Amino acid sequence: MTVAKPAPVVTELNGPFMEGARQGVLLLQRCDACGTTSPFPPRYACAHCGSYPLTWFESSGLGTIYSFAIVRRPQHASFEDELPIRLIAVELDDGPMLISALEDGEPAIGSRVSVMFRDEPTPLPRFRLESPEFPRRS
Amino acid sequence: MTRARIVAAAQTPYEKRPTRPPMAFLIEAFELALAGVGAQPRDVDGLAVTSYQLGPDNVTTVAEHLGLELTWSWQGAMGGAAPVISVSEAARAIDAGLAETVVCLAGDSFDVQRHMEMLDRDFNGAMRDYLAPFGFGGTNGLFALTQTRHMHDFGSTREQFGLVAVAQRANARLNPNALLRGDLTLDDYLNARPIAEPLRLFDCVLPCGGADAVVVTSAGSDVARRSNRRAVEVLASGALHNWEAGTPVTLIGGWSSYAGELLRTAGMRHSDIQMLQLYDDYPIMVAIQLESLGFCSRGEGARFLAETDISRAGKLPINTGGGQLSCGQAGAAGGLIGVVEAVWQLQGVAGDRQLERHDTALVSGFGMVGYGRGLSSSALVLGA
Repeated sequence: MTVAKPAPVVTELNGPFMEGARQGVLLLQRCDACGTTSPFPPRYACAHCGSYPLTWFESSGLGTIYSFAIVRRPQHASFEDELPIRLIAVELDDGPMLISALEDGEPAIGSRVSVMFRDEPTPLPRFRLESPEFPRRS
Repeated sequence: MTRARIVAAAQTPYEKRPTRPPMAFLIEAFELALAGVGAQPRDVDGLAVTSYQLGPDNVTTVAEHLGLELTWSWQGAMGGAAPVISVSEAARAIDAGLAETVVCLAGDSFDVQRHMEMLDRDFNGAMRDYLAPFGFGGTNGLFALTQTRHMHDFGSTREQFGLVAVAQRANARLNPNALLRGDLTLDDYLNARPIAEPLRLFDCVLPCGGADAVVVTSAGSDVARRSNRRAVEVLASGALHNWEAGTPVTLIGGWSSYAGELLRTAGMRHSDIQMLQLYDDYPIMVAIQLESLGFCSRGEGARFLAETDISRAGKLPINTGGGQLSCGQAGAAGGLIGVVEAVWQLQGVAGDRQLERHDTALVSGFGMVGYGRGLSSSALVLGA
C-alpha cells in the first residue's frame, strides 16, 4: 500500500491557482493598481502598494534554474519511491522565483526550463529542461 | 533609570529521542536558572518563551503552571531568531520599568522524525502547501539551494564549510552537555552520508529535547545584589524580519542592514569582539552570518573560515561550546544556546572550554523559515 503524499490545502485564495494547475496552466498574480507582479506563493494583496484583490494571469511557464539540490532524505516517507528529488529554484521569465522540482534530467544553474504538471488531484508546478525534444505546450 | 543585566544562564541536559513533552524541559530550565541565582518564583515578574511545540499552551499558561504573576510577558514567533530578541526585549522592559526580573526560556522535545513532521505540516502555510508536496527535505533541501548558489557565485568549497563542523566539534568535546562529542575530521565531514546535496550529514543539526534559560534583572534588584557572578550587559541589539521581501533564495542575511549600527551602539569595532556565538543551523549560514555581520566581505565567508583561526585558541573563536551542530538543536533552544554560552564565557564559568579573553561577545539568531529561507535575523552585543 502506498503512503499518501503530502498535498497542498486548497482554499478560496489559491483555488484559481490549483484549478489552473489541474488544467496544465501556471497562474501568477499581478496588481492592476500598480502593475507589479506578485511574488509566489499566492497572496491576498499587493506587497508593493497594498491594493486588493490581485489579478491572475497565465505565465509563459518559462524560466532559468537559479539553484538546485539533490534531496536524498525527504521530509516524508511517501517520497522514498521518487528519490533522489531534484529540488530547484527557478527564476521565471515573468519575474517571481519558484521553488519546485525538476521532473527529469539533471539540473544545472542557468539551464532553461519550462513548467509542467503531473496528472494528480492537486498538482503544483514542476519543470522540465527546455530542449528541442520537449517543446513547450502551446 | 535601572540598567538591566544578565545574571545567569542555564541549560537542561539535552536528550536524544526524548519522551518528555516540551513543557517538562522548559520548566526544568526555569528551575535551574532560579537555582543558579538563588531566586524564588515570586522574584520573577517577567517571562519570555519560545517553543515550536508548546501549543496549545503558551507563555501565559506556562506562567500559570509555574505560579508566576507577570507584569510583562512575551512569546517568540520568529523561529530561531526569537530567543535572542527575547533577551533584548527583556532588557528593554526592565529598563522601562515594566518588570524587575525576567526569565527567558527556549526549548522543545524533538527527534529527527518529529522535526521532519513539523516541517512537513505544522511550521507555516507556505511550507506545507508549496514545498512539502515536492518532498523538499525540510530545511536541509532549502539551505542546500543556498549553498549551491553560494558555491557557484563565490567559489566557496565544501572543504571550507567543513571547517565550521570540525572546529565546533573540537569545542564540543569539552562540553559535557553536547550530544555529539566523537572525533570529527574534515574527511569525515566530506565523505558523510548525503542528505540534500551539497549538504551531507555533518552539515545538519541533530534535533533533540532540551531547554535553555537566561535570567535578566535590574541592577538594583535583590536578585542582582545576591548574584556573585560577573554582570553581563546587552550593549546593543538588532533584528529584521522578512528581509529582503520576496527573495526565496538569498545569499545575504538581514544582519547586513544593522550590523554597522549594532557595533556603533556598542561602542566597538569588529576587532573588539572577542567571540562569536552564531546561529549554526548549517555551516553555510555561519559563512553568510560572517559576511552579513561585516567580519568579511560579501561572498568571502567560506574563505574567511579557511584563513581565520576560529578555534578557542584562535583570533576569533566561533561557537565555543560546540554550537547546535555538535550540541544538538532542541528546537527553539537553538536560538538561545549561543546566549547561554556567551554568558557563561563572559562570567568566567565555562569550565574546560573557558576563553582567556572573555569581555565581549556577539550572539546572533536566525530563523522562521518560510517559502525558501529564514525570514528573521537578530543579534546582540554582550559585554562584561
